Amino acid sequence: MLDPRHRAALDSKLLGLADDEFILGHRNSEWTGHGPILEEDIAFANLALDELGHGILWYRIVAHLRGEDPETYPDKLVYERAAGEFQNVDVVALPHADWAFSMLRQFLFDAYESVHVPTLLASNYRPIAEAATKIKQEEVYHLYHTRAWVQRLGLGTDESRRRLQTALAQLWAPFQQLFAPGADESLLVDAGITPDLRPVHGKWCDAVVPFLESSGLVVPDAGIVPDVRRPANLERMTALIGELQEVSRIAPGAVW
Amino acid sequence: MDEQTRAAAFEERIARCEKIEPGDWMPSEYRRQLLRMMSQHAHSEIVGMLPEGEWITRAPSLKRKLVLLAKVQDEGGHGQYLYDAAESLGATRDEMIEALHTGRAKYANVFNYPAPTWADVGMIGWLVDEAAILNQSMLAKCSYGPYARAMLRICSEETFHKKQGQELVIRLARGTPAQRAMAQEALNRWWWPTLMQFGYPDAESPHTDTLRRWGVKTKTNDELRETFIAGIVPELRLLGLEPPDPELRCDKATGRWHHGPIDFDELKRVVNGDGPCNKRRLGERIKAHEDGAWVREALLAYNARHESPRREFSGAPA
Amino acid sequence: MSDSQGPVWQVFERPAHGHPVRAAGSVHAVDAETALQNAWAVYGRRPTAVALWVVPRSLVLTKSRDEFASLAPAHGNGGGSEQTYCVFCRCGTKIAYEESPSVLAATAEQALARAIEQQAGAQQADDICHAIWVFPAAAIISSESPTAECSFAPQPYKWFRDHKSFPTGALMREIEKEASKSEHA
Repeated sequence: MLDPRHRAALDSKLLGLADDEFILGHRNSEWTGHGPILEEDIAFANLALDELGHGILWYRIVAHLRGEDPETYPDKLVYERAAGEFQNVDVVALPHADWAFSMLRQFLFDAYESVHVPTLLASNYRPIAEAATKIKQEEVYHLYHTRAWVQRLGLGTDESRRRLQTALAQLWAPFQQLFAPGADESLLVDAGITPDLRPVHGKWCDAVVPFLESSGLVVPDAGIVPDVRRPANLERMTALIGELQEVSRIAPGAVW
Repeated sequence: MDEQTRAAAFEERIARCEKIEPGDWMPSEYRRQLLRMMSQHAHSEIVGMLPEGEWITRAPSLKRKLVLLAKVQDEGGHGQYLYDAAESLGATRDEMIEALHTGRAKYANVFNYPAPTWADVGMIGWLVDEAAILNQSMLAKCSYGPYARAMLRICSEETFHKKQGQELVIRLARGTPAQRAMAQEALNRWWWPTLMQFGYPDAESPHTDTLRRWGVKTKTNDELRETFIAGIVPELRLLGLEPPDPELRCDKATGRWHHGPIDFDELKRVVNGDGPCNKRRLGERIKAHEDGAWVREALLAYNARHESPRREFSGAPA
Repeated sequence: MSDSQGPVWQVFERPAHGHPVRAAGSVHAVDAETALQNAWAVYGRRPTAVALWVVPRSLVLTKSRDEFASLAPAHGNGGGSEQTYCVFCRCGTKIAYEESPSVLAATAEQALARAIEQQAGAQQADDICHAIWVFPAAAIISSESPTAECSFAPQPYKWFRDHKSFPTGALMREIEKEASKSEHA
């Protein structure tokens, strides 16, 4: 059905979507037990669980595309790939600096999903449209939650606004990577499998920039999207994946 | 009504299995004991998030990762129910947290031990949660309404906690030699601390009778410990795992289990701060709380200036 | 008393559509919007509720049976116009506070007295009211409100919280069978 070039482009795109969600969920899970308020510790863990779950949904489609068992293949993708084979952008792998950093990163991501996921509903590739349907409802709640937080931190105290501004300075430029197309992504766009990310980026900026400004922040620039998506920093991913796979490497391929 | 008459009427209510609510008259000792039990139970759940929480990022399969994250999240939730139940007797959450951080309030001693390997996650989930379940089923019938209600909710959520720990251990015990060895070593570490969880022997537990009369404790420490051993040892042995107690045996005639001496001196020492992880666990909790101070201040400041209108997020899809 | 985590909000849950609401517990939150979100995180992460309410604890008047007698009478003008007060009771052997018919009253004390009157008709042990809560219906922040920005859809079933995902019973039985087979071998 799909010719080899389309298949390769789709494989890479799906891995990118999956790794973005999964690695973000992984980073957010680090807060469990260390959050600033008990109720929010619980809420943030929900967001982490959802993102990990979304990652697994996308990994299952990769399995389907490769003719592998969707029940077992996601584990192989997560626990048997080398750090350099992960396709996520760097921003989701950045270690968290403080609560403002993690909350702002999650907000920017939720805002991205809110404009991106609806376009995936229209994909000609049915597994993508089905996954988007499942993801959409959870993301509505995510955005509701994280934007309330950004507002409160931005308009709270001088310290909270300062921390949020610092986080924005660290996150803004690398975040634009999420809107950069992969090498052969134009094939997918032309085939109606995935959307053109330029209007998606436009919508995201139109929503996010005024909101951040009304929350007391200065947005660094208009959001410059690179021509092509770059993978995450290898040293960073090596440390992250080393930790993620630390136990599984004791008995590779074993049942845990 | 004088104090004595009131106390008698109170004990009659309990004998009738009535629930005591926050506004009811209660002996000051009952209030003190319940507040101590509920707040320390809450602290135990929160501190208990730490040893297993350390392993979320390293969980070796997707199933284990999501399950562990959900489980640790639940522990936070259970702590939340219990803090709120404790508040019904007049303590604020801030006061209770301060008592924990300054060492005035205790938490389940078992969390003062380290979890150095993945198998420890399984042992904590199976052994410690099984012990907790035995304790909790008793507390769900507790005479104090808010505690009983919190415990009912906790018990209904707890069902998968012990099972996920047990299943984790089963996989290790049936796995590679390295996995099996990891499981046995973890059992060696967690066996005695778990038995200590049931508290001092009945003969040395002064509160038991009063707590029984007040419908707070329906089984003794030794009874619960015995039930625990009788249930878990046959299962461990079926998996080829042996608790580190050469004296452990079941008397075929009576069905009673005998175990070696528990080092209650160690329990005393560790409870009072001299355990392998006391400083670290409390340190992590104190750090989380202090690091979060600016966040809590920001929320209060925002609230002082805004009437919490529900603001629109423009650009969100319909 | 001030708390760095904000005041307490009483949480109520509707277990299923068409079901009456019952008390679930409480959360800390600095404002109403956060209270509803926190309630959802704490009480809504399993599919045990289709909707949640939060009400500031400071607006909930609670009295137990011991205190009923000392309350002011239900009638007479409390001064001021009347509004609807929600009533929750813990009756008989039930352990939870459940929704009872609401009352109109000018003050919380009057509402509570009227609620007690309503309950006075119950003579059976099963129905005896042990404790009552009242609060103004206007104080409810509800996930069911038509103006609620977020749908708070009930949580779907999550396999990782279901004990059926951990078939320890079946696994242990299988292992037991293997062990007795090899004993007899």
